Amino acid sequence: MSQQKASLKKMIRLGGFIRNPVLVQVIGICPVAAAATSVLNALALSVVFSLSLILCEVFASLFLKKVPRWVRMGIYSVIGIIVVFPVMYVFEKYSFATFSSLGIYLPLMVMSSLNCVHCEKYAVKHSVKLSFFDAIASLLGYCSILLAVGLIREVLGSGKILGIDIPFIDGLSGLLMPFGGLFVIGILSAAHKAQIIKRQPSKLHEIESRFTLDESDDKEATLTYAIRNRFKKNS
Amino acid sequence: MVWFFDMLSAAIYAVIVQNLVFNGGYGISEAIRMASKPKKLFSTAGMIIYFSTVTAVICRLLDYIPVIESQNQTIHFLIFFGVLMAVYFVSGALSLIILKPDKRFMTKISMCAMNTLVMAIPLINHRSVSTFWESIGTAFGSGVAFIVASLLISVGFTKIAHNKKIPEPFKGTPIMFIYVALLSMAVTGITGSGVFA
Repeated sequence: MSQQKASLKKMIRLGGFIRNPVLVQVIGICPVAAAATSVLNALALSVVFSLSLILCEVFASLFLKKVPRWVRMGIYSVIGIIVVFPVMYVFEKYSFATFSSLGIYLPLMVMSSLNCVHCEKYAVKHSVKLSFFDAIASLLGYCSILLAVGLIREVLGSGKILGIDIPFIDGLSGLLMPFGGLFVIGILSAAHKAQIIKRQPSKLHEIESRFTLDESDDKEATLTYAIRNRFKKNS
Repeated sequence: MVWFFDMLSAAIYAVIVQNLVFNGGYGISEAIRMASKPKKLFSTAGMIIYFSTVTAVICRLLDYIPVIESQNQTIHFLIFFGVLMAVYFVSGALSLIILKPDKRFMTKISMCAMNTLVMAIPLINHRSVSTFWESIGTAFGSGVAFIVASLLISVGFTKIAHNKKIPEPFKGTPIMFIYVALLSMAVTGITGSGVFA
């Protein structure tokens, strides 16, 4: 039991914080940059993402290990729609304001790269228990950023918090647009890196982004590698 | 010829003004990924154009059926999702039979089809009540917009690598996010919407 706890703790520290899915791995940026404009929106997205990723990873680990990768990728989206469709239906019927404010970003969550990358990189290679832990760890990392971005944008962009007006803040509407979301992610990413440099400099190499599913060209897919390579070529 | 100019104007609008990658954030993770691998950009963009155009055409045709047209947005999405899945599995099976590709090619097909940009186009066409030709133009233009976005991000990498004034915590991914945000802000400015009202 204590071993399980240690394993989960380690996974949360590494997968959720040090190699955060949004800030380091650059996965599933679209909903964070575009749809997380308020705490409520971010919360709704977090709930749907959590259900979708846990279900996907557990299912992939249980049944999809011997299925070809290209078929698996389609199945992840189908699992995603099984979660998203009832939520959309309920929102459209009973909470049309949330449904409208999330726009087409709610249905687009079924196409999120978060599900595909985590299922392919982890779930199909590990046991159900470890896949579940991986889902929890990455969800903690992903949802915390989703909520932080939602909170910052709601306060500074709309001058509100949980829908209540803050008297001394005039909203900057630009922050509610996708570029505002990307700015906030950029600043959070820099703060995250600063924390790593300050507290765990030995882990700095861990936060080099990897952008691909092809393990064979993992090194070439590293953003830092690409920048370094460009620099060498140009000089 | 009206149909042609309808299609062309929708495509130009999708590339320059409505650039879905910068303006809507659709497929932005994939655009950033591709920017670090410019050699693979055109093949990826080609597949995105294929999936977005074929899906948009079928979805638009289905929208002309009164029973489907009268459905709410949730049911519409379900139908469009079904169309994309059908296009994906049929295309994947056909390419396996005809081209006999390696695993990498099949992974690339998956990454291109399972993309928010591809799924967003039929939904946007449905919401904006585009005509058939406009739908094709938007789908094609969005694929080209993906190339433009990736190339612009890619060019920025070189400048970032040269800039020694960037503080250590901002180097790498953080400055790349801020650079993409600036590009996105510039494109949003073209639309004429108030950036900081």
